[in-house]
Amino acid sequence: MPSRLFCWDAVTFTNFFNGGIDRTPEEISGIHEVMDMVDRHQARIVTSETVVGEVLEAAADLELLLKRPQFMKVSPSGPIITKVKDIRTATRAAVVHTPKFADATFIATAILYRAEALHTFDDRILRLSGLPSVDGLMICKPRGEQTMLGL
Amino acid sequence: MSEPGRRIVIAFKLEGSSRDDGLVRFADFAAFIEGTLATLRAIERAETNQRHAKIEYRITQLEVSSAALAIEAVDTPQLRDTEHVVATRFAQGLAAVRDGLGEMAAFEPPVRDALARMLAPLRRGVRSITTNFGETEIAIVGRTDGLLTLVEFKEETAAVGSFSGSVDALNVHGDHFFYLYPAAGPTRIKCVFDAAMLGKVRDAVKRYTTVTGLIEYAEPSPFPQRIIVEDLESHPDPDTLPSMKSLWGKYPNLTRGLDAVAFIEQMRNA
Repeated sequence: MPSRLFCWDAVTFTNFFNGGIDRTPEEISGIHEVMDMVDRHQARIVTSETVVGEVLEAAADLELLLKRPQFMKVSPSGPIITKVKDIRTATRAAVVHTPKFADATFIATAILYRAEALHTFDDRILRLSGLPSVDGLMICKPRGEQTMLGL
Repeated sequence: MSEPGRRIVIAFKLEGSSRDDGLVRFADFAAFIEGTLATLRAIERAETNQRHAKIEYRITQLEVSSAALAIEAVDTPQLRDTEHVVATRFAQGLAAVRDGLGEMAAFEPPVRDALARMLAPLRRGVRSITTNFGETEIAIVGRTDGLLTLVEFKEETAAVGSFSGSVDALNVHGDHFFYLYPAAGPTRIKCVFDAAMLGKVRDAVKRYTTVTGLIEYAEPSPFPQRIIVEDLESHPDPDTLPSMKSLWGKYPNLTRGLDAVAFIEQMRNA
């Protein structure tokens, strides 16, 4: 069975590194579910290369973590930038929260790399979950339970 | 389209042109069958990130007079989940061709190329190809915009960047290249390198490696088609790298008392 693929944004990695001190026990439990799956090679995490510049003193450890085969960091290059533009244009037209460039980069990465879900704790981004302007991408707090839509 | 637990059966029906009285030319039917298998295998490789497709298909119905064909995946318990993923993706690919190019961007070049081969008879003597997945029917009639652009539209761009994956399939005859197998995204990327880097590349074979260089894209695919390698760095053995569990909560003061969302926002505005 193909291992599952999640996309993590900078907020999620930050909460991972600070032990979720501002998160509820349920939210921490969700992070642990994903961590366990990744450590057991049952899930992979894709993220934008930009995240390394956002976690500051944890950057060196993050870079080491991202060297594991279960991780994939994606450069914000041509196709990603084009998708960022599309997302920002579509959300603006739909009169919903228009994600800033950095947030839209994670959304674009999740969409183009076909992640099962984008994991974040940012309420403004969570509210975009499933909308046509983000190609129906599932955006949720980290959790390892089934999130794939049945077809 | 595809429900876990149910056997995969995909049925096709081709309709020939009026000048052939609706009959399908044998060459077109043969090309269609070959292209269909190529597409299913390309999707399986893309979805599983494996080099070889494992699912076997057998014919459950074949009517040459009306060019109807049904196939099912041979029941292999450990492949059942993959079978459903492949069938669903296959249906999405056909729907994308029917509906237009925009949706095709999510498919890798090998899958698009195989789909183009499978549907090539529509550009010759076949009028329509109808595919059934249980109760879902996808009919492609004539030369849809999606079909034409699937074959013809390729705009190449390039950018300097890096990509990580496992190095394999090293070739040193003629052009020097290897294939990079990433953890997500494209199934594999051809990486062309200068002969002077051969030693470094040999050391990287079978290891998870970051390749830096000129990354070429063939739009609308979001994935690199080829990398002209400038440098590569083999990653340490995974057993020597930190696990997620070992790094959890290692920096309790990372956000300096702020909520993580507020912290990231502050960093971005600084």
